[in-house]
Amino acid sequence: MKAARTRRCLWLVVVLLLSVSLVPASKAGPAPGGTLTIGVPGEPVGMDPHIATVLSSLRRADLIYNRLVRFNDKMEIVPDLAMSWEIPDSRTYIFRLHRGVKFHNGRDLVADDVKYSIERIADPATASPARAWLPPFEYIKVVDRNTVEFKLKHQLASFLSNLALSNMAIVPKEEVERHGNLHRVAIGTGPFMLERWVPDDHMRLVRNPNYFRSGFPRVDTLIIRVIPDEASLLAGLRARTLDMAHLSEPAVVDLAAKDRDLVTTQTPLIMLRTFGFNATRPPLTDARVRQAIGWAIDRQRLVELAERGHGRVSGPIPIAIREWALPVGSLPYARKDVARAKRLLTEAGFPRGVTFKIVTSPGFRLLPIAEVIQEQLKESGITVELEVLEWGAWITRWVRRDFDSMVELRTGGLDPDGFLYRMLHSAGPVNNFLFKDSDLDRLLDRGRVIVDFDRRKTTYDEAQRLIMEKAPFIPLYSPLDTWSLRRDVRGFRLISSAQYYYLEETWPER
Amino acid sequence: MTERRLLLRRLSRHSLAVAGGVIVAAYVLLSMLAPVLSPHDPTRMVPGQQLSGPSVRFPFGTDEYGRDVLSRVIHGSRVSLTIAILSVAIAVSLGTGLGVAAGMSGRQMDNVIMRAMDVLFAFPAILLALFVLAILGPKPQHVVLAIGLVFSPQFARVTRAAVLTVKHLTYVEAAEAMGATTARLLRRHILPNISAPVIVQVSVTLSLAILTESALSFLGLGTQPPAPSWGSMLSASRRFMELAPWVAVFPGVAIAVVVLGFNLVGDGLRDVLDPRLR
Amino acid sequence: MLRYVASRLLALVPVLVGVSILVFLLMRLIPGDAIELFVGTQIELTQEQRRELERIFGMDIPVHQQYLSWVGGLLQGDLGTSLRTGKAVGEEIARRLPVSAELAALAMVMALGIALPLGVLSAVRRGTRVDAAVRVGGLIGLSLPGFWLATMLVLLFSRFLPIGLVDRFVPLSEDPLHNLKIMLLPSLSLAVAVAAVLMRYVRSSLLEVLGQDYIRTARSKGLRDAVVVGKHALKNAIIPVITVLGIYFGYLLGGTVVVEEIFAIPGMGRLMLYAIYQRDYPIVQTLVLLSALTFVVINLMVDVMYALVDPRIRYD
Repeated sequence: MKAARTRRCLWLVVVLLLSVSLVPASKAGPAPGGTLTIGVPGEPVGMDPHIATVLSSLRRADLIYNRLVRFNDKMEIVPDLAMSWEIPDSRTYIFRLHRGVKFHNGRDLVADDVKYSIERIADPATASPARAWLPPFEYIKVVDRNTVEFKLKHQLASFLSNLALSNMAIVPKEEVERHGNLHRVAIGTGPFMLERWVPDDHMRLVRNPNYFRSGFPRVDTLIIRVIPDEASLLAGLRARTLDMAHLSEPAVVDLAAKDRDLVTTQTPLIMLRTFGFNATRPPLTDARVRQAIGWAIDRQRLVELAERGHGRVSGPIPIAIREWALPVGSLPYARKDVARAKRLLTEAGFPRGVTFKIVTSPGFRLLPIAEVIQEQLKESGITVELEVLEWGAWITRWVRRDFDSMVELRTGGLDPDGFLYRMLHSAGPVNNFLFKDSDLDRLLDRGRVIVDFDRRKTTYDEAQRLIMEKAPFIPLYSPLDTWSLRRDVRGFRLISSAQYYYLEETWPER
Repeated sequence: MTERRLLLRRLSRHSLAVAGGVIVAAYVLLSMLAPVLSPHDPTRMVPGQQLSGPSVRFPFGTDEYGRDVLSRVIHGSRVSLTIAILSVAIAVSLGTGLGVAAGMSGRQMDNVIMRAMDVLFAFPAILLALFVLAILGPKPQHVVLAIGLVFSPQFARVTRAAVLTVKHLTYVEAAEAMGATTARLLRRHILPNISAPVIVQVSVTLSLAILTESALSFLGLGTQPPAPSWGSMLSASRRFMELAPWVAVFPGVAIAVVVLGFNLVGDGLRDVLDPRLR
Repeated sequence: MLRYVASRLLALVPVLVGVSILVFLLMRLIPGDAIELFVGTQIELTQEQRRELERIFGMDIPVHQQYLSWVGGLLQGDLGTSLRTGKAVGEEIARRLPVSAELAALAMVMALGIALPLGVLSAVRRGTRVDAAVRVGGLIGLSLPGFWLATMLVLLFSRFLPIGLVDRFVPLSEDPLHNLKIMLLPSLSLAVAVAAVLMRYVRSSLLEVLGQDYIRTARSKGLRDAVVVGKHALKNAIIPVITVLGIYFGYLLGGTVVVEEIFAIPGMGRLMLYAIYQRDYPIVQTLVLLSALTFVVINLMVDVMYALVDPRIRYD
């Protein structure tokens, strides 16, 4: 009896270790103050949260600004600046703001700021990448100083979760007007204030004394160092010049995991590596050829070879979106099947196999994946040529849809609509597969507006199966987000959206 | 004829040059016999053998996909030598052609050609190659073109200087006065005389071309996978150097040795052909 | 002499104009423009969004006008604004130039420190085994790919000899000692190839001087070898060596791209590389022009120095 319980406890510990937080829970309260130094690989490109497209910029915005709502570490939507909200009907959202929230310039946050910020994002002149995440509004109304009401023109089931994206920061109007944009001034309501920014080197953030979550941030100073070379990040951790580091290079992650002074923690990201096809380029016009490719790839082995195992095989909805993603085992291509691939090719009229190109680039781990695919497809009689381009040239090919096939890293928010509609609807803005399927269009249109969870779930289950069957792309895997922390770092929580705001709860215990 | 034989004999007595020649010949042989000499298929990924250290089965260890590093180094010689030789061929023909044209023609033409060469020469070399590859796309023939272009100004300068010197030698002026055609002047008097500095330059440039090709591959704009290239092997190896130093060490040694071979030959040639530097 | 310098200076103009046109065109011929890179792949721009960005990036006017406005700005001392950071190009360069200059200077000092004694040794012991060994050593130095040498040094000093030589970059002004410590390996990996070339020049130049009459006289007067070499010969032999050094300083200033990348040093080479990748037109154009300018000016200075030192060389 007791043994069984111990075993269960042990099992629980293992599960906890495997899942989100490897960090020991805090024993006592934090010592106030101190400095937390983190190392990250990317330098921000402009700081305006509404305009930034680069992840490293958005990660800084996570610390300087707040949004109306945010995700917790279970990827549930929880309050941020909005203390509470109601949805009286599926097109009306009323948010009540926390009282006494101040911008870094000392002014109180009011409902007008929310209206201004969302309207700024929606304004085409702002050129915000987040505009696509907003529905057309009938109106945005300031009800009183702390209440704001959104009336949508039509239903958008993903609206609330879209408001948690880093781009949806609430900014002070007067600072935008004074400086034109917020690329170089950073005035938000967030836990940290920008004190010093030395490009390509470090950013020094200091505690916001008026932060509305009392007791946070835990440290007085947060230093973010930019160290593009991952081996140097690890070296920094070992030399104690860094308290924690955001890693992505698999070999370095393995080294960090072996280091006994460090705690390395991982979670699958809400991103998807896809191997996508241009549906207008023969022989990839034929769904059977695309299916054959799906059966010819051993995705688990691909993760092992290209990422040293640091990834989770996923279906068309990233595996980290737990409530929506279908288990990989229940979908096609779960096991490699060369005979089936060859049969499909023969049926499609290519008994001797097919030849096509993958356009790829050395950055962002696109090349290793393409190399492994090239090698794996050989066995099924599929010949792949790689065309390795410099990053900018790759982007151009992407924009012009000039490719047979591409390996990509896809993002798209927390909601299945955000992920699938843009990528696969015949009107989707980033459907560069040029894929058109009326059945799928119908499902995706329906999923956009249904608010009832169960009905919506049925719709997206069906959509996932259809996507796998038509194979506009083969979903490969979700990469893992990895942080490595020195043992004395407390209070950090890793989340699948990779946002940084939990650094407000993190401190080094010494 | 006898002069050439004399040179060859002097070169053959130059032991360093001979050593260099042997190295280069060995690499040429290696690249020709690569499929026979490689113990494994250089592109085959062996599951479960990623980044394993040197062993009997994999004398140079394996890379991140479990491919045999020795076989990849051997096959890499094909890529490097072919690209180096072809690009130097382009640099020589382009450079000497323009150099002769500049030296033989009038002042204005000379100015135009040489200023154009100055522009290319003043442009940072690796960046020029990088630009050419980014524009044309990184295909082997474009790598050849890019490196050829980058190294042509040196040939143009060397050739032009030689042409100008020779042109004013008494016997050449005499031949010209006696009505020899330009073509004849070139063939009989000028070309034989400029061959010495050009040959020295060729051997030096061969070594530089190999270094440049590997640097370009290192920056990700060289040869296309799965074809193994020393530079791209090195570039990939940096990501897991601490785990698997062998992937970084061996391709680098391969580059250094063949470049040393070309440099030894070049040095010998310079000794033999250019007595001033002896 | 003055006329010669003036005419040479004048001849620089077409070269620099040529370089500026070439880099401007090359930048625009590379597939992928600044806007496409700025936006990335996960976003679709509307027409008006794109036009707005074109206006911000100064890409809404014809190409030849873009060129003219760039050059016009240059002539008035306005280097433009970085598309990536929104900072003045001059400011970006001012921050990077000292770092690259320091790296190049350290590499020069190191190269000289290696080349001078070895070159002298090789010349004095001409034809002996020492000479041969030094020459082969030089050739080996010349044959090591700089980026590989750098990689090996990083490996050696981060994995096997972790004595703090591989560390985060700190500017010289902030912590001179730490800075010198971490600049040691990068400058060494640059210095090796330069030292190999220099050594050859030291040797041949010294040999030439040693063969001259006044040295023979000095020797016949019974002066010791060390004195002859040290006091008389070396002084005269050093001049050509210094000129070569000059040329290489220019080369090092522009040629540190790969080494800066490996050691993560925020110098000009790295700035240039990333600016090319990100199509940051103003930065790339200015940096290439600057490095071409350095190159031609140093070449000119070398020639002038030759003329001043060696009266036999006439320029008219």
